[in-house]
Amino acid sequence: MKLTLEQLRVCYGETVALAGLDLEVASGEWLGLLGPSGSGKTSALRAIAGFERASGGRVLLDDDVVADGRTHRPPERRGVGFVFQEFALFPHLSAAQNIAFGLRHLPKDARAARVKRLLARVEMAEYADRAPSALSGGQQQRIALARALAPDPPALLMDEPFGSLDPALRGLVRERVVEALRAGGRTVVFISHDIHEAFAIADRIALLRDGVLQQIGAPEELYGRPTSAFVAGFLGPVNLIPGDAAGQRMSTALGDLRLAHEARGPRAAVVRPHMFAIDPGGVAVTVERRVFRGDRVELAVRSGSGAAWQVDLPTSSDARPGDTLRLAVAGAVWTVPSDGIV
Amino acid sequence: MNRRFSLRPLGALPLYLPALAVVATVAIPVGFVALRASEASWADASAWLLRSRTAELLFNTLALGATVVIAASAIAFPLAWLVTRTDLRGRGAVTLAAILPLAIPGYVMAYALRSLGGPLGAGQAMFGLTFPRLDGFVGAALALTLYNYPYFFLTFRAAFERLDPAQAEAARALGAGPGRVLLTVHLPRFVPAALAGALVVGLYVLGDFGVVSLMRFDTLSLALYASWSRMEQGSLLALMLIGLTVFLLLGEAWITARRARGATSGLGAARRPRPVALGWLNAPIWTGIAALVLLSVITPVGTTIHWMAEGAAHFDAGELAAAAADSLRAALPATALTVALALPVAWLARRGTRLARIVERAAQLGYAIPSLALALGFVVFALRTVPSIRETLALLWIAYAAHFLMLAMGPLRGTLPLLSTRHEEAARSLGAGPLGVLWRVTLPALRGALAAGAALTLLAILKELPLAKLLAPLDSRPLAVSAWAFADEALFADAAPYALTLLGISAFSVAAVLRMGREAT
Repeated sequence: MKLTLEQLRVCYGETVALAGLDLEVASGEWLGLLGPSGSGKTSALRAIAGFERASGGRVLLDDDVVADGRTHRPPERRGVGFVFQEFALFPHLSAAQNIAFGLRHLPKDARAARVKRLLARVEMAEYADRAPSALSGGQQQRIALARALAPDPPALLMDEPFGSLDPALRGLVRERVVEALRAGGRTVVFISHDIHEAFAIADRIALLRDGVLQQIGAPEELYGRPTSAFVAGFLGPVNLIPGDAAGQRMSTALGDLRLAHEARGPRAAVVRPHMFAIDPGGVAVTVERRVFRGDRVELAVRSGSGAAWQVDLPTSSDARPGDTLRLAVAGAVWTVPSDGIV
Repeated sequence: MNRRFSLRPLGALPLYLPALAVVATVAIPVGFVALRASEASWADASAWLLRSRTAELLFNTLALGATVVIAASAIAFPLAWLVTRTDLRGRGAVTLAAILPLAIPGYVMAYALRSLGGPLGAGQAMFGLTFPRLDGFVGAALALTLYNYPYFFLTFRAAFERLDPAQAEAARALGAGPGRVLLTVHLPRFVPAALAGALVVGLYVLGDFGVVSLMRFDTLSLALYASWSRMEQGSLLALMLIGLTVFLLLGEAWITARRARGATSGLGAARRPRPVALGWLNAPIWTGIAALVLLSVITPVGTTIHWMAEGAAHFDAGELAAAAADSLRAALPATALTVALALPVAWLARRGTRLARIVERAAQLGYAIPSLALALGFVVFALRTVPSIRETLALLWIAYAAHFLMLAMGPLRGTLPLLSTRHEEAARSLGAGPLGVLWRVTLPALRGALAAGAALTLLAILKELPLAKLLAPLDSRPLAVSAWAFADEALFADAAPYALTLLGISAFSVAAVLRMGREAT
């Protein structure tokens, strides 16, 4: 199923949660919605499901308009699955009965068979008769997923589906879920607060802020070629090093950098901590703080001109506070407009 | 996050109509009391208010309330400490014994204590001892204390269990000695529990009719009963009682609002500290517990059984059955009405809108307003609007709904939070329409809570006295009214079958509450 949002607006009284969002999710695509809290990602997801009314714009499922400013198709007639962050299993029904909830249209035998198949698929067959309160978080998560998948919806919406699992469990459950879902070929839109999770499972990521779409694209694109300082900073630690661009090159406190794209005027180079390397011809910096992270060493350094940077070096580095290093960036760097950088 | 309900579960009307009905059941009696009182001439009213008799009634009421609150908490606090913080043996049994007095209606307690003393009393017959006759202030205070101390016990026990030793340890690590820890860390944690207990007990004493009438101790409530036929004085007294109730409720709300809510910080339950070893204190403590159980449980039950045996010769099962039937005729429809109102009101209360808060306050007020004032309000209302309902059970049913709505809502409030709007949305995304949600999710999930609320309400109504006494039609004599009427005329043996039946009903209701409490944890 293809999902289309056109200039979608969602308001709560005076508060504008979503200010005209345009988004297209291709059939079978996995889209991750990211953004700080209050950015409108939950409102967007709930508007697609029909839990929120659109106060303007349109929502289309395939070519079917299900919401515009005036009409609103209720959620039960949209056929879109939803997995809640808190799972929201019905407390008075067993695991199997929860899964069967959306299968009323099936005859009894077919229903029982389908529930059984779904339970097996999420590896919960032996918990069929348990009450939700007698299940662990990970188990509840799997039942919630099976329940949403039971009516075989062509699109599935997930609001932080792994957010309330404890970190140790999270990776494992996620792998299984993604595997189970990919097989179906259905469209998935999910919200995540975990950037690495989104990188791992999304085909594309849409980053929102204050109800406005900031950038949309493949994870590699957003990470490597952000269009603003906000996007660059949201997706991971970054040094935004201001400078004056002149075509293919830019002069900065880190020396003369080669650019990955043509630019002119004041810009900021996007330098991730891991992009630094020790280079005898580089800029001299003083190490101020060192944090050992196991797979790398994080350094806080200061250049002669007073700029403070975050630098990751291999664990083999024995740089200590007070030491002087010479650093450079290998390869071409990406830049963003320098406005909004403090 | 401030997220509105954009899904309407149903039209708004099915929620708002019951809400308005609830507000009306409280606003009507209060309004008509005020109306009737306002018809008194200013000179009459001020003369009445300023006469020494009124001051005496007010003083009696407040003195009784204060005495019962202090005495009951003085019994309950050490008892709560014993069962939570020490190595006392049989803590479970002691806990049960401390809750058991709730199963003895106040007027049965008063009946038992009053019939104990004197040369013809049960004490003479049972132990060969002539106890002094218990009545007046001492009798009323004793009966009310014995009946009410379990409320304090329950709140103090809960407070002790929530007490997190980590806080005391933090205080010790910061240099506070044990004395300062007690004063600055532990005691403040008991203030909310003490306040909650004092509110419940204070309101109970304010509205009590059964105990003070049998003990012949003049309070505002008893005076209201005595001046029943003089509506003008009655309504002034009722207005005073309502005023005191509102004052207590506002006072409690004001104090609670000014205090930060105490909660254990961090995750998980409070850790249990090492229990205090009682050692040689065991002997005096057990003597005290035995005396308390003798007085609060064995005496009332034993006395009632004694009088039952005394009167066995002319026991009339038919009359008892008739009274029980009268009780059920009043209680069953009233329970149905109360629960039917409780569901939409509890549902609405969850939304936290202004109307929801008003309705919650109305339900709270209906429960707190002294029954006699409530009854007078309904009588005035009936006489002014449809005099013919004065002689029907309908008026009693409505009064019960106004009074016991809080009780029926209790279990629902515990269960409703388990059912979030997310469940509603989940059901909708799985293809259920608004009615389907109500039928397949909301009602089934609340089935247990509705049944619990109904059971609590039914049992409470069966043993309720003042509303039944004043609002039941003349040809109806429910169990509680029968027990009270015989006891009031000192016909103790005649009262016994009714009192014993009521003891059974009460034991049932306490057992039900205890079971629900266990299931909740």
